[in-house]
Amino acid sequence: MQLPLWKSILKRDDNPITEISAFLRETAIFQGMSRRTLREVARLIHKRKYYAGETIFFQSQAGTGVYLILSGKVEITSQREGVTLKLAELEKGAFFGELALFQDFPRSATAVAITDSILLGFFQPELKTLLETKPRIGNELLLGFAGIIADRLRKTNDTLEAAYFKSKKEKLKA
Amino acid sequence: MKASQLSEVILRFSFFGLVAITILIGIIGIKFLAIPLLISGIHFYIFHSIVDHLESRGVPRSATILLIFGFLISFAYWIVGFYLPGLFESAQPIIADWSQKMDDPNFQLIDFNKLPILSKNPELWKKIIKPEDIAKIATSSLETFLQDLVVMIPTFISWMIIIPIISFFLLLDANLIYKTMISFIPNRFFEMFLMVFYRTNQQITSYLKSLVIQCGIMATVASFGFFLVGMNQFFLFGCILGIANSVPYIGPLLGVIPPLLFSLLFPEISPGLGSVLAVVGVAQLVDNAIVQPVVIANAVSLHPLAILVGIAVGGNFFGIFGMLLAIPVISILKVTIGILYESLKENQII
Repeated sequence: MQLPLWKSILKRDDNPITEISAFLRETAIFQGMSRRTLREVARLIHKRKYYAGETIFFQSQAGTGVYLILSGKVEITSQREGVTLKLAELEKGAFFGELALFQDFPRSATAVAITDSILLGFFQPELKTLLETKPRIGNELLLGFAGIIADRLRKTNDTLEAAYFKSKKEKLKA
Repeated sequence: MKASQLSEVILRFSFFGLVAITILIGIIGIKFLAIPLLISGIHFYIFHSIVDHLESRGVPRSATILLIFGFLISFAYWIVGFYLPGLFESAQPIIADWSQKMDDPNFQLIDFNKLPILSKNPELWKKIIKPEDIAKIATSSLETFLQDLVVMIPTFISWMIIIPIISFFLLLDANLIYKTMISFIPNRFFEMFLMVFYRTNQQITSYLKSLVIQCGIMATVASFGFFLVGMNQFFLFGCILGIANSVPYIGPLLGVIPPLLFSLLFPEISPGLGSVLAVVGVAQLVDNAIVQPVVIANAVSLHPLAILVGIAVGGNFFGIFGMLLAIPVISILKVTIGILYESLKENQII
């Protein structure tokens, strides 16, 4: 149906935003966030298509944000002293590269699409824009990301602690 | 050649043909649209932070944009509907007085006996400098300028329609336009360009915002100063000085010419040259000592030679608008190239 001009100007095609925000609600990183926040993120997020074998980013390359897998598979590898280590194989709903959202640090691993994949990217400029223009939503997002990072830090601490006590026990036994 | 291969070639040619036609139309149209696009871009950079700020307070973007446009249109209406007619009306006695003087064969445009240095040998200077000839040249130049202005009226009208439309959509759909532009960038350079766009945007916004604040403060200070010394049309001359001040180095010199000429040609209704120069001096002092260090802390510094070349090239291509817009354009280009170079280095591309 042909809309009048003013309606065409003010009314946007919301389908992709609805579709993306529905997907975001299912991901670990955005679950539990308000509908409004998800819609704002969906409005700002970048949808990119990668072909099988295409590199998403390289290790030690400057990074700016987090990627979510909308469809397809992504392999994360790390290379040190000539040895390549496969860190993970991620599928729909998983996310990677979130540290680059907060720090201007080079990427710590390489991400390659194993199959044709569609990724959603959320980057520093978008986060800063949200913090400036919609501080409430920006803060909710920050808290969400902080929760994820704190969770990972706790898991890393547990692993380190377990490894430390294990080696201590072995030393005592010896 | 198989039929499928042939259709592939045809499709490829059609695609690149369409792209070439679009670029060609763009190049042809750029001459006409360059100034409106530039002005709309400057509008966007000046106002988008207000729109963003009010959006963060819950005001819809379209409402803020309409409010800004309402204010700008009201101001333009006041200028065209009230200020300019008042200006012409107050200029009528001066014009009548001048035409009377011009008819007088003994009339001297400038009295050499009253001017320093020249008063020692007025007859010699009268032969070297012929004020009447200068007046004739000035009158004919003014006539040509006004004729050019009349010829430009259709262009101005189309600009007045195009500029608000482009500005409106730039402000309303900035995110959509930005995302569309980003979607054309190949995956490999995508993240790098995101940061380039963001940093460039930040720099240009802060530069143009500080420029507007600087011009506004200068115009206010100069208008107030001219008002205090009893200058006729103090607001007009203050605004000219404020706007001219946006051009570094040359601007303050250009801005002082109209009030100086006015007080030189109409000494009976103007304060002395000393008072005019004192106002300009105080305004410059305020600008250099207070406004520039506080407002333009991260201003884009340009070499004086770059400014001169920029103004000459801008003036040559786009006339008076080109001269005024040359410095912001050069500053924007300098910032963009600098950030792009840094990012390309950071990503080990160059």
